[in-house]
Amino acid sequence: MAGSGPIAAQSLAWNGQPQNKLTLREALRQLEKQHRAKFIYETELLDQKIADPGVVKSQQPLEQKLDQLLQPIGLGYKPADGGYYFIFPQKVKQTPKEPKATQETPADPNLGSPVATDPAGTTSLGQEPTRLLTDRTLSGRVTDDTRAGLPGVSILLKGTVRGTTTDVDGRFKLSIPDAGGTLVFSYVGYQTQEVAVTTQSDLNVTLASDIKSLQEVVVVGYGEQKRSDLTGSIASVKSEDIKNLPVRSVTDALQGRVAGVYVTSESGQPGANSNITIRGAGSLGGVSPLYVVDGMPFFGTGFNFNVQDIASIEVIKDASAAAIYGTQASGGVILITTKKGQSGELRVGFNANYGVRNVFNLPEQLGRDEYIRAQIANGRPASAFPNPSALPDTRWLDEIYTQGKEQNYTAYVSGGTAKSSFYLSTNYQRQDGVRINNWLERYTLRLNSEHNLSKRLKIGQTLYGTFTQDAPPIIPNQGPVNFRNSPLVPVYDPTNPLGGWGRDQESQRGNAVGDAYSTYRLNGAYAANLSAYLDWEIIDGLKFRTNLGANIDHFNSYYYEYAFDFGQVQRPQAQTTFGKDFGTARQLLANYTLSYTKKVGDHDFNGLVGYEARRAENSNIGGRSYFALLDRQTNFNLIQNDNLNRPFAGGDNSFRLLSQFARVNYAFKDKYLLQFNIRRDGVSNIFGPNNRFGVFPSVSAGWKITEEAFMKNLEVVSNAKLRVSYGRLGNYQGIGSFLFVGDFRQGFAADLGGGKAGGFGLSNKLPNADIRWESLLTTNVGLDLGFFGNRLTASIDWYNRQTKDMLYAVPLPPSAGLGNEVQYNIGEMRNTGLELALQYEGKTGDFTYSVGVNGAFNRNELISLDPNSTTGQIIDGGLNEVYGNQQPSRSVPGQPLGQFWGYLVDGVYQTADAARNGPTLSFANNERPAAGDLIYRDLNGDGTINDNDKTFIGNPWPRLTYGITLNGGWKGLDLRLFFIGVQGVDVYNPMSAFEHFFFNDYNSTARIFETSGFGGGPITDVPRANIANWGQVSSYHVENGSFLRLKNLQIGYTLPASVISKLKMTSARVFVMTDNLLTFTRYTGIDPETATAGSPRSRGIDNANQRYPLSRLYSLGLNIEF
Amino acid sequence: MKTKTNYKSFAQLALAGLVGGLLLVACGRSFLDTTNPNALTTDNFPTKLEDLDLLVMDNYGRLRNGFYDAYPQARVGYGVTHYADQGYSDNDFNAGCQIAFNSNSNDVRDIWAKHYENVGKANATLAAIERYRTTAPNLSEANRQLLNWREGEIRFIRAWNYYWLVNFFGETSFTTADAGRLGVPIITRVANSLTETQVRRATLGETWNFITSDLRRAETLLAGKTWEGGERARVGIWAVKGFLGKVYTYNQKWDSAKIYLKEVIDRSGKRLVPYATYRDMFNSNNRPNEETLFEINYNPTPTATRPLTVSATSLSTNAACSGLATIFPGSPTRAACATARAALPAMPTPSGPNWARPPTPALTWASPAGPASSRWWTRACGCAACNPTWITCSSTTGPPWW
Repeated sequence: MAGSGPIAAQSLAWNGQPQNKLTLREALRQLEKQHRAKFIYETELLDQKIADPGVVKSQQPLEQKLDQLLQPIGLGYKPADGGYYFIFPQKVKQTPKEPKATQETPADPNLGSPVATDPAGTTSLGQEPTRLLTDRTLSGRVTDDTRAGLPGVSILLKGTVRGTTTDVDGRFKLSIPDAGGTLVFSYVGYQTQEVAVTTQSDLNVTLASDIKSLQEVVVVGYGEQKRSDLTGSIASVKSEDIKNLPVRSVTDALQGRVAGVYVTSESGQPGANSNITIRGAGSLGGVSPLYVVDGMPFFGTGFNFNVQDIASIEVIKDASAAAIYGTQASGGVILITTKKGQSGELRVGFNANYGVRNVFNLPEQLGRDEYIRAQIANGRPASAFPNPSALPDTRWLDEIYTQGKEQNYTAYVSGGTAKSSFYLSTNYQRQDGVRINNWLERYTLRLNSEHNLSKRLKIGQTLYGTFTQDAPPIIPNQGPVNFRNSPLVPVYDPTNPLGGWGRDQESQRGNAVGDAYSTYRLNGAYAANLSAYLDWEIIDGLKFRTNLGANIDHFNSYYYEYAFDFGQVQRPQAQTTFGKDFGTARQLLANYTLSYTKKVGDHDFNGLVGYEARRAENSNIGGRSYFALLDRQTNFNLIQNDNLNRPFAGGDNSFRLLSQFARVNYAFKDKYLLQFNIRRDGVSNIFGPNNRFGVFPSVSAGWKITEEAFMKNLEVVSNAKLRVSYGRLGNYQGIGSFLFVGDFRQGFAADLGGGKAGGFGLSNKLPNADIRWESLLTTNVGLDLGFFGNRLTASIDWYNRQTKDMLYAVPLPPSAGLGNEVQYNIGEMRNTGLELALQYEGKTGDFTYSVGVNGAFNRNELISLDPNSTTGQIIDGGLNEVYGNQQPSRSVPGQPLGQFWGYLVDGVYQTADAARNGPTLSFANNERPAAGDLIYRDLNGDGTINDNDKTFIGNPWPRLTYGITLNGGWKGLDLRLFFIGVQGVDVYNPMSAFEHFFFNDYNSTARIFETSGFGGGPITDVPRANIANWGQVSSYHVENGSFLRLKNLQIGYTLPASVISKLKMTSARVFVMTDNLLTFTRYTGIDPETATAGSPRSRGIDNANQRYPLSRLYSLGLNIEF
Repeated sequence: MKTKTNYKSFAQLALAGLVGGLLLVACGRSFLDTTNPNALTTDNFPTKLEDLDLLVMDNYGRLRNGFYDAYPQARVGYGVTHYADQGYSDNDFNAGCQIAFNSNSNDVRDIWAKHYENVGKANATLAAIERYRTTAPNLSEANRQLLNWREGEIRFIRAWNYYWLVNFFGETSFTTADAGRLGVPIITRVANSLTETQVRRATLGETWNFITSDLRRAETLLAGKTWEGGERARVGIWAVKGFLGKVYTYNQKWDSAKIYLKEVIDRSGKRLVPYATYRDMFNSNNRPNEETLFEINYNPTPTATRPLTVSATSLSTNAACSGLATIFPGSPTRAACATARAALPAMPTPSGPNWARPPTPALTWASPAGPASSRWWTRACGCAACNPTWITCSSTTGPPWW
């Protein structure tokens, strides 16, 4: 702090308002306007304080004014990012001339306010006579969670008026009774903390930031905003919540965390991606959110992104704030901020994690004895198994699945000075899949740094590099949970010269373990993501920012197919193939923004204009060959027969986006908020020449109700804000490239006498020069509430999102010779929903706890596909072999997307008489059913069951999706429980067909014995084992997929300071963790979580045998920091 | 002071940053004008005579697409006799055995669709020839002659396709008395809009007149032209005249038929071949010979066998799984597709006389349920499930940019 000039002494006591004085509060308000600064203070601090208007109006820099205004009255300040200044009580600068009495700040009776002490311990608090007898001095430091010292924290000895505040470095000294007591640490923006002091003389306290604090700054598109000023629907996820989670991606990390963000995982494969749907399907193919990392659009926030680098995630759900991303924002925007260095001491940390994984709840396929019994019951002669006990008894699923391993190690260093700061981290992760011959590993490196070149100029950089390598699982046609096997076939047969695999001579089932090793695959990928930015404050309030970024990717993949002999299924040496694929991609991005902030009286403006361009190119090539001379050969020249052609193929693509955007914020009296966003986007390869640019505006408003006078007296309600927004977003996802221009492609070849020659022909495509973005019109009404000093917060949002100009493939008459369809922007769809998020943070004695609940209801309705057609519908979805090629999902106007379509079933015919009178079955040679068959409902009453009797039999979209987070802490122990749940969802279970009968040469499960009349057994409520019951789409196979899952459980112990200080650490935590420990459901398939997944038009079809199952994790972890 | 220095040097840096960015951005509108790297667009093709030849070649190749294609079309046309021994036994095959086709039959639908596809390509080729003829600078007389021949060839091919369409789908065989009954839609140019694709069914009279007029025009364009050597399979004048004779015969215009057929007999130099030749000539051997006026050329011994295919689709699936494609909108990310890719069996190879069947990947297609091809697509949609719009389930061409 610079020395103060001569100042007029201010009277500390206020006796009536002198005409030439200002209240300090008003003075600060004026300074805020003049200097576009923001002051943060406890309002009581300014009570009865006055200021010299001459200082306020003078032409001095802000900080000089503050020195003059604040210092004499015992206040200090500390500048923070974004023009914020914290104001806090401080000791008065000691000068020899000043009388001792001024050292003591006036006590504020409301606060029980601190008595100023000198951190150096030189001042006396001698006014308290008892002190001399029983008191001792306690010293220490208060820091925030980044370990930066917190100045101005008020410290109060509970039950007394004795207290102090921390100095600029967060240090304090306080005299306390010898017997100790309880100290209360409080600071605006942080959670108040009570610490019991017994005999120690040193005390270090870390205050947790109050994440619900209204002063919290959240990242928004191309900038930041105070949470209290938000007018849109933006949810935040803090790194603390997702730290240590065994998540594969950012998407996984969001599962169950944010109301309305529905993350489903179809696969438990290491590194597999999950589906994310924000507020329902926004388009016929669904829309994915835009991921923005540190201001740069980032593609591939999958497994290759190190989640541990994340400082915070913001999810923009409505159109207000998202419109600044225009046509990229249709699926919502996920803003990721990575960690940055803090000035202060160097922090070195290490996180480690080791765990094992096991599959759970897989079907138990029949073993040898049961299999033979069931086969005989199914009609095989017993003579087919002459000597059962001599046969092998192979449990194939046990052979294919093994214990997976998971390792994750991160090391980081961060730190900085007032001028420069950096964060450097590296991570190694390896996952050995639960399936044999399947692993994945990843290395990452991140360096973020920032440098203040001058007061007005700042540059920074991010660098993120990854290398991943994996051996993907080799999965046979019948899927990872393969039913097509025989327990009577051994896994190994040493006499088999080709691979040594057990041979199935009876049929073409093969050898599931041999399958898993039948191909050697290795994929590798390198990626580098770089960005550099520059901030230049041209004049006060006017900021220019440029951000340049590049993503460079390379991938390669290789496979070699081994020769094998599985009995009837063979791959001789001559048919082995190998192949290689290579590809590169590059993306460059530049954006420039100019922002300006201005405050005039009660009117607060800030605005931003920007320009952005993005270009991406990729290219790949791959080749295949037969006749390798070596196993795992990679060279295409070393083959036996060089005359054979070795095909190769490749392709390129490019993408360009050019945009301008702007935002205006206006606030009146900091009470009424208004925001306007607009963006204009052009997309090179997608928008047609007649619609080159789309414009996407949004407007939103907020009302801070608690700022109104009539709300001031409500003590219970600490915050209430109403938000309303409306806007239009665009969507180009799912729109093919160059649909607007006709083209020629490789056509038929002919031999006109001189050898075969290829031709070129017009593509089967009717160009649509009008092709353009889909429009998503979103209305959002939200209410944010805080109670009891924001210990309890709630957010409620209602939305209506209308998708217009939705792309639909209009059928073309084949006589046009241009293919089957043409894409037009003519469909319409709607999603409406309600979202609720609650958070409570409480404390009882040493026990701290928090409860977070979020839930969302969404209703999707396809309004129209083609207004000119009444018959339009889209048929999707695939089922397993038992069902042939039937597709159970229908997307029909008036219904949500992807409804199940099939027969209604009214139970099982219990008697032959009842069955005899049943309608004939068109899918069973028009025969009548028999006892034990399903009672298909003859909807049209024509005496036969055929396609005309099909109707809607299930809705795969959940009524409610929710997440629950329970955290508890007691002394060093902490417990974190995280639940996800889905309620009111239908699942189609085709896998039960395998479980209930022998399809072809497939195996089954013990459930086959429950089927009606099996092996002469009784008629039950499980239909007979045949294809007419198990291979037709019917309501019998639709199940309730609702579930509640304890997704993650973590128990941690933070070592006490006394221990870690000996180890020269500053913090250390050990924890145990488990994933997918408990599931509550009535669903009978493998896993309701994967069952409810799927793409928008064909979700909820649980072809579980085709899915790599999720697994249960047990792991041990360690977080230490030096 | 220090601050000032920094300020200056880094203001320069700011400028450098700006310039760098602008270079990257290039200027406004043209930045967005890109062409499809995976296709020849109507803007840049066809622009040369050689380009036109590629289009014409495709038209010849397409004669196998429709009627003389692989099994489904032939099964409808020839009935089951030719194919009974090949063991097909699907619904369409059974319908063929019972002469019980209906509009739901894939085979029947394919005949309609593929012949019209061929017509569409012929229309596009004719338009390209015409455009070249009118816009190419300094067109030599020889090239002008060549363009005429090409136009004649394509008109013959278009007439050929309409001939089969009207025979399959016309309301009845044509006689003058039936001229008012329904023929097929006559489509003479490539549609530019959905509306233009809505074409009424022409009458039988209109349809046959259109066929005849195309052939008469070809007769003029190819006047006196016969092809030799490496071009001997092209449409020549005798093919046109012979076909005209046949068309007139179908139309019971006996006088005209007689004129053309007699001219062919008298002047073409063609004569009947002995049985030994004839017996084998439909098995792609002995071609062309002294009897044939026109042949759809099959190559009995393909110069390149295709032991395995690498198709756009199979490769793009790899690309999709690469994590590279992920920077493009709407494409699935790497890991999402890795599963699907791993599960994806080899792509079925196009079948037909010109394609050596690949060695059956026994493991891949061992499952007995349903025809392999359809199950392959089910699987492909599984990949598309990462983002279903990315690979259209009904498409064999893969993602849009391929």
